[in-house]
Amino acid sequence: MTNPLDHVDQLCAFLAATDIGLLELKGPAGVLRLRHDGARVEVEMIEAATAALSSSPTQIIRAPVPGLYLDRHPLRSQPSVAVGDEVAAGTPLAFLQIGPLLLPVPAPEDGMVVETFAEHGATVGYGAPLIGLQPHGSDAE
Amino acid sequence: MIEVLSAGALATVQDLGRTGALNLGVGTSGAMDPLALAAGNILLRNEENAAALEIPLFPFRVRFTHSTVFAVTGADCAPRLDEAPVLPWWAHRADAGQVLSLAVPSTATWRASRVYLCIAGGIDVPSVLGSRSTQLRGAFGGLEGRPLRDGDRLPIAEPPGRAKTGFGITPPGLALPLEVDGLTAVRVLPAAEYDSFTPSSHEALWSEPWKITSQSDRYGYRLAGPELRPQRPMELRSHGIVPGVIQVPHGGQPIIQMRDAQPSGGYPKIGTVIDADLWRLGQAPIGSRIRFVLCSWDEALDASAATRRWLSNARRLVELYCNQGAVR
Amino acid sequence: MTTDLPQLSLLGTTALLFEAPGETSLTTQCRIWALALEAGRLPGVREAVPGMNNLMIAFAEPPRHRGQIEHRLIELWHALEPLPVAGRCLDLPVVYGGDGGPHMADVVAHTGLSVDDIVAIHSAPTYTVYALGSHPGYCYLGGMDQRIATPRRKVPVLRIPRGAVSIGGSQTGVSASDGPSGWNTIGSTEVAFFDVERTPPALLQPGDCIRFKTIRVLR
Repeated sequence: MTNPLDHVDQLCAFLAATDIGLLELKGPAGVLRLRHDGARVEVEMIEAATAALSSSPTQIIRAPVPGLYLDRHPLRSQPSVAVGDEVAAGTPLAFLQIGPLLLPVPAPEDGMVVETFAEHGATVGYGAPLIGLQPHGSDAE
Repeated sequence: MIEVLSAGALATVQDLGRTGALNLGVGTSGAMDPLALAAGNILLRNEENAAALEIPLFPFRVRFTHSTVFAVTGADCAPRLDEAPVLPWWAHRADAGQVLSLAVPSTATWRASRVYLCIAGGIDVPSVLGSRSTQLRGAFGGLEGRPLRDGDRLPIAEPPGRAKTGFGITPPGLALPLEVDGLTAVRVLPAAEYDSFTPSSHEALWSEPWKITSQSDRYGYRLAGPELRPQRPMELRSHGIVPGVIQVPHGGQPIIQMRDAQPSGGYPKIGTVIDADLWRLGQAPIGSRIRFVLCSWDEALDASAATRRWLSNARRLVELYCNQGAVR
Repeated sequence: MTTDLPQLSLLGTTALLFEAPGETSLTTQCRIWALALEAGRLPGVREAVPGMNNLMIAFAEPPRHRGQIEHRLIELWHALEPLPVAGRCLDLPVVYGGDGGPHMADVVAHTGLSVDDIVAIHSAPTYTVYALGSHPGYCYLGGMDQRIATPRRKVPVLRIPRGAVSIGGSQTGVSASDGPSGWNTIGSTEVAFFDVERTPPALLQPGDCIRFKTIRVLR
C-alpha cells in the first residue's frame, strides 16, 4: 500500500468534491485526519505508528482513494464480480465514485475473488478493505 | 482514421451545434444528448465541442486504423473491443486494427437510446459555418452532409496526447434524474399561444403521459396523447423557433422540435421544453412516454446552471485525476 | 388596445419572440429589418432573426432578468427608422400542377377558384423576400393575394422536393431543399437557393424579390 502522505493534496481535493465530513487515513507511516467542513479541508497528523499489516495468502485489495464504493458500473444491474470468479490482472473488480469521476478497483494480479468486504453504495475511506483475492501461483507466503 | 464496418442507420457526425447561421435559414443541429457528448469529451480531455459519432440504431461497428483512445457514452450498448466487453463511459485505448461493436442498448438502469462514440482529438471533418455537425436538410457539415454508410472512413484530429485511459465518468443522466410517475419528465415554459388553448388542453398537457411515436427523429418528436385544441383556429405568421418548441398542428397532436428542427415555423406553440432538459428527450426511446412539467424562467435558468455545474465539476476532477493521477 | 402593441413571448430560455402588431405589411417588415440590425447588437444577443412581421432574438446567454432587454426592444421599435427595400429581383420559371403540384386540388377545394385562376393570381405579384428561415436558403415571401390563402396541412408531409412552390396560410414560398413541410405544394421550379461553397451561401436576402413566370399548367 502506498503512503497516504504521498497523496495528501489529491485526497484533499477529492474530499472537497464529496460530502464526507471526516476521514481518517491509516498507513504504514502513520494516521492522518482530514476534516471537511463544506468549504475547506483541514489536515491533521495524529500519530506516527508502525501498523503491522496482516499478511495472509489472501491479498486484500484496498481503496486507493476515498469515495463511494460501487460493486458494479452505474449502468449495470449486476455486480462486476462475485466470490469464486477467476479474474485477470487489470480487470476492474469494482469502482470508486468521487463526484462524477469513476475510478477502477483493478485486480493487481490474476486470481480468484474469495471475499468482498464493502457494501455497494457505501462510502469508504482510503485503505478500506474492499475485496479479497487469492492470487494464482502464490497460494502461500 | 476510423472505418465504419456496419453503419446501422441515421448515424451522424455531431458536435454541440451550429449557432449564428439562423439568418441564412440554417438550424443548429448538434448532438441530441449534448450532455453525453460533452461528458465524453471531458473524459478524453478534448474540447467539450469536439465532434463525435451519434448512433441511434444498432448494431454498429467500426475498425480503428491506428491506436486510438476512445469512449462510448450515452445509452449502455454493451460495447465490445474485438470480443472483449469494455465499459461504457470509460476511456479505453484501441490498438490498430481492433474492431469496436455496439449492440442495441439496454434500458435496465437508464432509459436511453442514443450512443456517442467519442474519440481523443475528435472527428476531424471540416467545420462548415462554424460547426462539424451534420446538417441533413442542407446536406452539408459532418461527413458529406449525410448519415454514415458502411465503408465510410472518418479522419481523426491529431490527439493532443493528453488523454488517459482506465477510468470513467458517471452518466449525468443518473446524477440529474427527473421523473414524474416513473416517466421521463421535461420542464416546459409556456409559449406565445399557450393561453389560446382550451382549459382541458392545458390540463391534458400537464397531467397526461405523451407517447413518442415512431414518426420521431432528429427533426422532431411527434407525440400521441389527448387532442390539444385551440379555442379557435389560428393561422400564424412564420417566425423563428428553437429546438424544444412544442407545436400543435391542426390535428391536435403535438410535435416537439428537436436538434435538426428548422429555424422557423408557423404552427401554434403551446410551450417550449427548456434547453437544460432537451438531452432527456434526446435519449427518450421511440415508443416511450414522457411527462411535461410547468416551470418558471428562474427555474429554467437554475436547471441550466445545474447542468453547467455538473460538467465543470467533472472537468475539474478529470483534470485533477489526470494531472496527479499516481493513484493506483 | 393591446393589439396596437408589439407582443413579446418566450421560446424557452434560448430566445425571445417579438411580434409586430397589425396586418402583415411590407412597411412593418421594413421596421422589423431595422429592429433586427439594432437588436443584434444588444449585449447577450447572439442573433436577431427576422420572420414575417416578427423578430426572434436568440440569446448567447439568457439574461436572469428579462425586463431590461424587453423594454429596450419596445423602445427601439417606437424610435427606429424603417430600412428601405433595396434588393435585386429574380425571375423563377414555374410548372404549376401535375406531379410537381400535388396539393393544387386542396387549394382549389379551399378557395373555390379554378386552377387557371389560382395560377394567374399566384404568378401576378412581385414578391418581396421578407426573411430567410425554415431551411438553408429558404425565403419567406410577402405579397401573396389573400384570395388563394389556404390553411397549412393538418398533418405535415414528410418529404416535399427542392423547388416545390407552395402555399401555407396567407404565405407562399419555394423549397430550397428536400424535406418535410406542412404547406400545400402547387407547382415546381429549379433554382439553387443555397450553396455552402458560395459567399454568402444564400442566393437571396431580405429586401430582394421574386417573380414567378408560368411555363406550363398541368391538370
